[in-house]
Amino acid sequence: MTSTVALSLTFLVIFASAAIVAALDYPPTAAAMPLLVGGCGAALSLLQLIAEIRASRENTEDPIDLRKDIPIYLWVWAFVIAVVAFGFVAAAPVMLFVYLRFRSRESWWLSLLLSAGVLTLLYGVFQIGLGVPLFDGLVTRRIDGALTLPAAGTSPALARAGGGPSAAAAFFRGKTINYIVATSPGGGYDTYGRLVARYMSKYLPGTKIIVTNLPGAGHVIGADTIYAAKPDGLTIGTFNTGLIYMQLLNAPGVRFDLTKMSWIGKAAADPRVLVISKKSGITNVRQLLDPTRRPINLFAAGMGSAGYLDTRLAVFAIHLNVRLIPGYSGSEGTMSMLRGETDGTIGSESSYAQFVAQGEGSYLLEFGGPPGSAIPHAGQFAATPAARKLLKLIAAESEVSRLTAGPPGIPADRLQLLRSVYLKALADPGLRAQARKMDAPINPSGGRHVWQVIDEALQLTPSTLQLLRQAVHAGP
Amino acid sequence: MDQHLIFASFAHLILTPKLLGLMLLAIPLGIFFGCIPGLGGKLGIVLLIPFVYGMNPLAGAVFLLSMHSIVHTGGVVPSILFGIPTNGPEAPLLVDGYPMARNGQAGRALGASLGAAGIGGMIGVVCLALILPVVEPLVLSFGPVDFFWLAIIGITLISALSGEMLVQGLIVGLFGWLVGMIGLDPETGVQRFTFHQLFLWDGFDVISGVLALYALPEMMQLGRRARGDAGAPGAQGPVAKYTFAEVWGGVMENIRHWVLTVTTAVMGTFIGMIPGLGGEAAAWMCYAFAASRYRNLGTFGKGAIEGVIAPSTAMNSKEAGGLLPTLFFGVPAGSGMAIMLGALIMLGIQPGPMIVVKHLPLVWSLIWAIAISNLLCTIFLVFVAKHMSAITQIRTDVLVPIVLVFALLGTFLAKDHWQSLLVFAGMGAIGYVMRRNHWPRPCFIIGLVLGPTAELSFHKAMSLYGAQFLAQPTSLVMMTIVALSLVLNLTRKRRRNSGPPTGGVIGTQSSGGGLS
Repeated sequence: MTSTVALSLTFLVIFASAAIVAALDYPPTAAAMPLLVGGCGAALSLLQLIAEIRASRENTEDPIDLRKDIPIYLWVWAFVIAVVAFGFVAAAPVMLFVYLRFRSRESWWLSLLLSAGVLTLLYGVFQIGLGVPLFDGLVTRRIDGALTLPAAGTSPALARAGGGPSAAAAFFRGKTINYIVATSPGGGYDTYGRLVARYMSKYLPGTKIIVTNLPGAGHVIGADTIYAAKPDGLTIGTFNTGLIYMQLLNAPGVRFDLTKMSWIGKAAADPRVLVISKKSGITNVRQLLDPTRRPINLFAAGMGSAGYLDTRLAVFAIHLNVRLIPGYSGSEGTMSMLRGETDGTIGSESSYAQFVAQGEGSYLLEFGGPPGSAIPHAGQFAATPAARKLLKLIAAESEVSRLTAGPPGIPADRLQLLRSVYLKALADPGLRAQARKMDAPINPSGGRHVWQVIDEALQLTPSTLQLLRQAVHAGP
Repeated sequence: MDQHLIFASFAHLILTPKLLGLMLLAIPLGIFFGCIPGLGGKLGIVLLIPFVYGMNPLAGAVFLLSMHSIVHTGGVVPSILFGIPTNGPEAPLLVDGYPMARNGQAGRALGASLGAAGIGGMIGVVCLALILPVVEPLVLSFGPVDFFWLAIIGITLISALSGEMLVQGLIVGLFGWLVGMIGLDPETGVQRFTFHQLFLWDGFDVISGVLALYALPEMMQLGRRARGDAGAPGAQGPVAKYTFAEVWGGVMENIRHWVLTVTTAVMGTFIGMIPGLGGEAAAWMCYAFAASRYRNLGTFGKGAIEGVIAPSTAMNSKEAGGLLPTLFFGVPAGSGMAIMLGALIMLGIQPGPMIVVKHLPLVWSLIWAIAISNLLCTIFLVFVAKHMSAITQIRTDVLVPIVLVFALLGTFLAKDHWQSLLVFAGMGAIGYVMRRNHWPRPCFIIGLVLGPTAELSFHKAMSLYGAQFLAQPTSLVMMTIVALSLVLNLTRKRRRNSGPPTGGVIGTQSSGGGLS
């Protein structure tokens, strides 16, 4: 078997499996492209396989012998497994040394020198200097976890209550709090997170707060990590309030329970609004409630995201006569409105403030938001208690924007301290000035209040939950 | 356009010590991130964002943009000297640049590429400035239908890039598309091919792909034989030393081929402006353009200077072009610009059409920053290039494991998932076999980047207009272009290909059209 035969065969297997998985597991729209790509790929791979087999039979030249290349490939795997098991800082220099000494037959001192150099780079420059956490290894983590089990004999109730305010303050002194942001650097959550972290540390003298970015899976990875962290008050963070939906719908990968988390506070409020472009010609929300008119196009975020669910639920709750076009991320939606491709959306007010300020569109309805606002409230169009409950869900999400929370079980005294420090930080004139410079509105609220809002939002009766699922799975 | 404003922002940039200092600091940082395989420009911005936080918006934006716009210039060095691209857009340099280096023309290739990158960046900036007055109608004229067809045109380049190995190219391209479908499908919310693994939710990262398909196979190729084995490469690397005169000669090639240089620079700028295409696609598309024009020279694919110039101009001019949708609409042109967008928002710069009204001086400062950093960086590297030939003298035995460590680092840092390392090693095997058999690897990147764009745009177009979108004037024109280019590529091949079949090991190396 020549290597090209093996390659063609590998591709054939990959394409065929992909096509089969798609056909069996995914709904038609999602499966269409994988089937097409997998099918064509499989067909072409088969053709190539046949051609290669024929060529290898006819031809008597030396085929490319890859067996001699196996040792170097094994070395690659050795590096990978070492890093996966023991982490970069430990494994990379060691493996480098081993390779240089035993495969490259370099001298001891050169191997040591280079390994030391890499160690300095990885640890000194990346981990300490740039503050980028490098992977610490699966095995190392297990050893670490085994070594830091809580001391036996401490009753959970006592641990939970803690020792009072002075004990809490004493605990934090000299320690480092890890503030986890569930997105990559830059962007709204990171901005607010860094702002909060910076000013919280001002009110916790002797305590450093460092920000760690843990992006991925639509904030789920960050939230999972915060939830699973040791509840000593040294790990807190921020994520999208929209994870409420993920929890309600039992989305895969969700390992948190928002009602159990230790809520520290929230920094802003961001009402959801129904924005309509001037081009659409719609001036009154009643035009959108009239089932006899032709439905207009509202764009929404990618399906499965919190933004999409906001839009979907809102439309469903007040029976808007519209067509939802999903798949628009970030500012693509604004562009589509400017182009006349879509007529509006239901989303965060902050995202469309500029659009409306320019005169390109207007707000027709508000979901959540302060009472006495000029924009009509959506609640008046909710016909049933279930619909009102769904609107309340959206309102809860809008009210709690840019939250800060910690894992469940932080001792009461430490949580109290964190909560009061948080509010002080958000009232700080320096923070307010900085926030104004960054165009970041501040509307703070304490942990207790946030917990109440979240808890209430997550208490859905089975029938309302059913309605939620129905709304989510209904087609656009 | 206000002449006074344009020159005032230039003067402000040069004469303010803090801004000038930041630019001068940003250039070596950009070169550093650009030339160490595994790191890359995107990582550079991500790592620098915490340091920029709280800075004056102009200063912060100038710093980040100056760094990011010359990252590829730095990346030219490992691509040509070692065959290891740091960022995706430098990968085309491997096809002609690396063979040139191995044939003793390293200096010329480096000079040509560095010069092209600098010139490309500056031409890109000029285009950007000229388009400024019409930016809004221009960007708004592109809708899902247009994006769909542009992605399809990009995909058909696979035929141009595959040369003789059309079937293999298609297979690799489709494989890239398949991998691109891993993750959450924004159209339906379905998790595709993630098998309940959270780390696959966000999909497969392009940098991991570039590293697994290019860096790892190259390192394996160099490290195949351990020191002391018979036939080992020996103490020296494969690339010989070169002189400054050679490097300068390479820079001058850009003047000799000025039509190509200017054309690809402009093309790169415009491709870079199109969200969904920009980024990786621009350099490959310009390379394919040059490939189709200069193929008859015979050296293309094996060490033609045109094949070095074309992608080099594009990889920097696309950075200028990418600024357009990012700044004026908040829609990032590519993954690098997406991170830049987040940084700009954090600095308090709200992207949107109002930016022309409210922050025009800022926009001009950014434009100047790109131009200045491109100029300075190229000049610097051209003069330093001769000394970099010392790097090529590093023993491959030492180089291989060090590059491997950086590649692992880069793969991990791209998405912060340790599982990426396993995927990296696995894909590296496929990449290695492809390399040994000269299967066209660039097609994977094309499929990875453009496939999902094509699919998403297709669904959006269908939702908005139904199947009738295929009958719209844009669609008909695009379909004709696609059909024509496919036909041209295939007939050109058939005319030349009267010899051995395209399948199998034999016959593909001699024809010179295959790209690996």
